[in-house]
Amino acid sequence: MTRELTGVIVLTAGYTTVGAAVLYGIGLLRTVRQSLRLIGLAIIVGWVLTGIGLSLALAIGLSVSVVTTGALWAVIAVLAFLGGPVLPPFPLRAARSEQTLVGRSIALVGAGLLAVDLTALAWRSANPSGQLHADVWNFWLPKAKTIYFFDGLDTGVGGFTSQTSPDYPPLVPALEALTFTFAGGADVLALPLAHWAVAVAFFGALAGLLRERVRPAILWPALAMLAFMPMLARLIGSSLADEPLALLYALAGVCSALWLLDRDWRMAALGSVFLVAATLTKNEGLMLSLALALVVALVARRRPVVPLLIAGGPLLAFLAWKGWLSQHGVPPNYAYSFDDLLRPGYLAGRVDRFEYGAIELLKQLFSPSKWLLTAPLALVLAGALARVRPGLSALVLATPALAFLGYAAVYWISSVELHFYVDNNVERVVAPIVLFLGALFPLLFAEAFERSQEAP
Amino acid sequence: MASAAAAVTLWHVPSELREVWRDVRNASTQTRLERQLLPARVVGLRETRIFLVAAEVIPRGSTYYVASADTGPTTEAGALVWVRPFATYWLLPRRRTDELGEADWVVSYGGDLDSLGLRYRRVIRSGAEFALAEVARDA
Repeated sequence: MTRELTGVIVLTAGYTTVGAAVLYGIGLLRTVRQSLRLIGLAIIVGWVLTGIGLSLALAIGLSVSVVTTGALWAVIAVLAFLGGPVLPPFPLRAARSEQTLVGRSIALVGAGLLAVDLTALAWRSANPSGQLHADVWNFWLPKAKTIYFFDGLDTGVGGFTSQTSPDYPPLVPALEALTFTFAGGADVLALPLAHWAVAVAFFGALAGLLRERVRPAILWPALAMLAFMPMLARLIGSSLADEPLALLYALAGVCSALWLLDRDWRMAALGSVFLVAATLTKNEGLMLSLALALVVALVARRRPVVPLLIAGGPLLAFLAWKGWLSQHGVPPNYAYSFDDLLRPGYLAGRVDRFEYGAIELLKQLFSPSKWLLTAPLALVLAGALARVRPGLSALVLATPALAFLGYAAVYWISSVELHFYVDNNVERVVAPIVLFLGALFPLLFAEAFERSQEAP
Repeated sequence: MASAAAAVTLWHVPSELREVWRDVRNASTQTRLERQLLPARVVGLRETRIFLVAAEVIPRGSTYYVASADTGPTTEAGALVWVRPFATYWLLPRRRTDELGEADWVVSYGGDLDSLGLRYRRVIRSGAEFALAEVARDA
């Protein structure tokens, strides 16, 4: 266990260093105080850029090794330090504080609950039971092992492309393979701890990004609510790709919202990086990314460059991966093809699938036993803010709606037996939508609260 | 709204913490190897020794074919569909092939080695139903 723990610590330190360098490079991080506030975001940015970089490295024939990763980190850090002096500091405002004892007490209880939950999850991650979803040991982990053992994307017998769903992008297996590398072996019981570190960083990143707009008495209880969502707790450390996809989409949503409010392009750039990673995480990552980019484009009609930036990164990542698949003759996904959306006759004959899939998705989205009240509360708040914060409101209402329609459309066009398909994945495919809403919930609540205080 | 969110969250806190405690307790009652093999047991593959033997005997990088029965006396038919995926998961960096002609080894999980039409250099039995065979290749 010591070797695995040391490996995860070293790896997380690497993510932190490279992420902090990038945040310095884009002007977000200039002081020690800012470093402490944004350490979660630094870890996430380091983790994300490592995943993207390793995915591209794999596509050009490199392996996931300490040397490759070290070189990648060095290149990113050098580029970041070159950019640092050029770009002006990000106008990061001071974190909000509580003036009253009641406010401070509520914040303290929220932060305490969050700490209790993350500590409990740390305990579980350090003592994993070995229970894995069938998809995890059926293809996510075998793919990671092929990258680790066969030094890259092996297309031979029993290699990466011999596994189930070979067309799925490589970011998640690449990052698992990297954990194996740092942990000194392909022991899957070492992975939950690495996932836990990323989950903690995710909450830290949300807190760091939102603290200037959301007062502590709202922020910490809202983050505690997210942490206690039963399905999120189950996803953390599961090695299902839905876990990172949800975290990435939520952060992309927060960055897009902050761009809409502050109009600093660096938030949009961060959001785009998260969406590039989402696109390289699962096939539906591109669909989710385009849904978000489309809504941002509609909301910011006179600022087309930023929505293009948000959509452009994921599209390039998608094309790069498609190029690799095409070059190696990997067949397309057997489950569905979006081309079928252009076949009216095909669609008309299976409308019942859309209806059934949509209903099952809705049941999951609004299930308190899975996601507490996160989705309905966020949607109600977004609706209430439609007049005073139309951009933010539209982002929160329209993005999940488009993502929801996308998932329902997948059930509609898929050739897989419907009940099997829905039963196998509906519980977790809603994770990016719910976490997107949940991550924006503190911001929505704060905006609504401020408005109610201002009202006569 | 805040009250509703807080109430529902606080209602779930004890059950979430209990679930974590149950997971950790389950983990503590099993050895590391048992936990690593848990996916096989969860899908009904009660016999896992053959996978351990195969991982020990088949050299890394070698190819193997998995021969499994349609039904077995100690394994439910529904579970046997998981033999190949679990072998893939467990035996990497050995390479599973579905082409008999490419296989250096055969892992038999209730399968019939004789019916495959191959000659074997050696056969290692693991109980009555399970075996590992090295394929003999003509020089």
